[in-house]
Amino acid sequence: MHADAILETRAVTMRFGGVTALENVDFRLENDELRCLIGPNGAGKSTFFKCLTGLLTPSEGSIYLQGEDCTGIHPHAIARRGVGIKTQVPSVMNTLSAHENIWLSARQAQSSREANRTTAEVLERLDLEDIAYDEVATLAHGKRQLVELGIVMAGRPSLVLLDEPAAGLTGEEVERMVAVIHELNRDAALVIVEHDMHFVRSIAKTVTVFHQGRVLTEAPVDAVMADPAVRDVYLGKRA
Amino acid sequence: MLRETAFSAAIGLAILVVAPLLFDDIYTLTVLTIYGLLALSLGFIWGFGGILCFGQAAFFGLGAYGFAIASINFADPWIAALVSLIIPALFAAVLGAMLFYGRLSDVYLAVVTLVVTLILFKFMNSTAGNAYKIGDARLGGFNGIPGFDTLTLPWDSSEYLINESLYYFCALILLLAFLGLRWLLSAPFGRILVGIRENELRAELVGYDVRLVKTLAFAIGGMLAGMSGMLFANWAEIVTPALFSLSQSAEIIIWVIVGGAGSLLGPIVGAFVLGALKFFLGQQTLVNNLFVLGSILVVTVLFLPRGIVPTLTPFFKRHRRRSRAAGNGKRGRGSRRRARHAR
Repeated sequence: MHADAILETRAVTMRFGGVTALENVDFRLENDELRCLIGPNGAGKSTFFKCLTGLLTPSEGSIYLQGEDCTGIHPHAIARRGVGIKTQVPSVMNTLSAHENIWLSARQAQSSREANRTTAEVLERLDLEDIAYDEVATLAHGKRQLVELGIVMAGRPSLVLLDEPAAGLTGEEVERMVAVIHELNRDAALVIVEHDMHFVRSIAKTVTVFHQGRVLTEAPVDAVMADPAVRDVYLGKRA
Repeated sequence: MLRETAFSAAIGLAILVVAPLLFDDIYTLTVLTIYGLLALSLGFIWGFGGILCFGQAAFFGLGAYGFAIASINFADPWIAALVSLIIPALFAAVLGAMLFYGRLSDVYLAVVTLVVTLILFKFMNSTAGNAYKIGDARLGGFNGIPGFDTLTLPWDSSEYLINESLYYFCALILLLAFLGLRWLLSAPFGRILVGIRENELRAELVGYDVRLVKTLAFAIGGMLAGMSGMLFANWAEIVTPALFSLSQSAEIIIWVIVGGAGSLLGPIVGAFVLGALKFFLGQQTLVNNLFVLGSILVVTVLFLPRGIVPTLTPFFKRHRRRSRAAGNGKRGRGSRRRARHAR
């Protein structure tokens, strides 16, 4: 394994009873890289994502974070190794304010005073100052997505895992999300699970395509889009 | 925060000092104060930690038994008081660790805590005979343990805490527990606990060990329930297996639901109101006690689902905000929001 890989998986296999959701997945992400995972429904993207976050323990294989074997460790321990995680459905603390949500994330690794400063910075970077003290449950979906990204940012991660960050966003909100992701990528490597190919094109250089629990191909986004095999399995038509 | 805490402390102190003047039955008032502390212990772990424990009576009983047994074995009842805090706290920590590290969901947690209480109830009932002794203390089975030394004044071991002095001691403990929990909830630990109640997965994904935080909160709740058990042992001067009974466990939950689980004051109010009503109803034979308590629970769940205190709080806050706005004149939207958040 090269020293500069922030994330690497070796032969990760995940079985649910008789169903094999992932089979021998080898994956490697360099520092500061931004990679999108795409594939049709049931391809194994979300299962792979859950293995990376610690929510699932692979049946076989290993996961390395900055060279350290982190297979099967608890999600909170993964997060403490500098991994920021955003789930598909915004996972926020609903009856708390946006400020409190972001503060709790910042406070995990910082003193209360530092966490206050970090929270103010994140709220400003995401233009959330106006709704900082509103209950998150009362916010629109797009704002809730941003609050969750704020939670991720406040942890100052070196690796960010995002599951469908553009899901349910308006065109304007998607543009904002693209800008935020590029900003995140200045300090951290990212793995993004995404369906929306326009969104993928606007953020990623390299794409990993999953199909039937395996990595079908891994290539620059334009090459992947032009690959007949990918078009066949993912877009549902032959080139 | 400091000003609000000082204000709460002053109000609480005034109520607890004035109460004996309005309520001449100091004996009943003392046990209501003890029930208030017991309800507060469940209100903390359920209302702020999201942990519905059906077995708070287990820690209550362990505190009471712990005090009685330690008081018989140690010369100083204050050492016994310390033991009676440590035993339920440790028991709650071990039980909580098994529940939370074992990833038991809410329903199973409720069932396990209920079963633990029943086991203790059955066990204590079957400890008659000389074989069941801890040191010099015979557990006494169904009859329990009578005749142990109760708390005395720290500077005069011949002066027992009884009647007024026991009431004021219980009131002081209740006030300190209330203020302590208020402080804890405004500290990072309390804020994390509330965050976990709101979204356990999110708390984990930002790096908090949810299992550890919940175990600690559960142990604090167990210790407070044990403390109320210790006070109860001092009040009743006898401990019996009835402390572990199902009806005791159910009653604590009813106090919290009626008073309001989302506040610290709610459970205390619930315990005082329903406890007083129970004593009043116990003096007559016209209406069944349990029927009335059950009816109150049904009415509360239907019409005040958040409980008495959380339902009334917005009215007081609105009134206070209006008075402040009248005093302050112009304040921006942002400053109002910040003020609301700070509260």
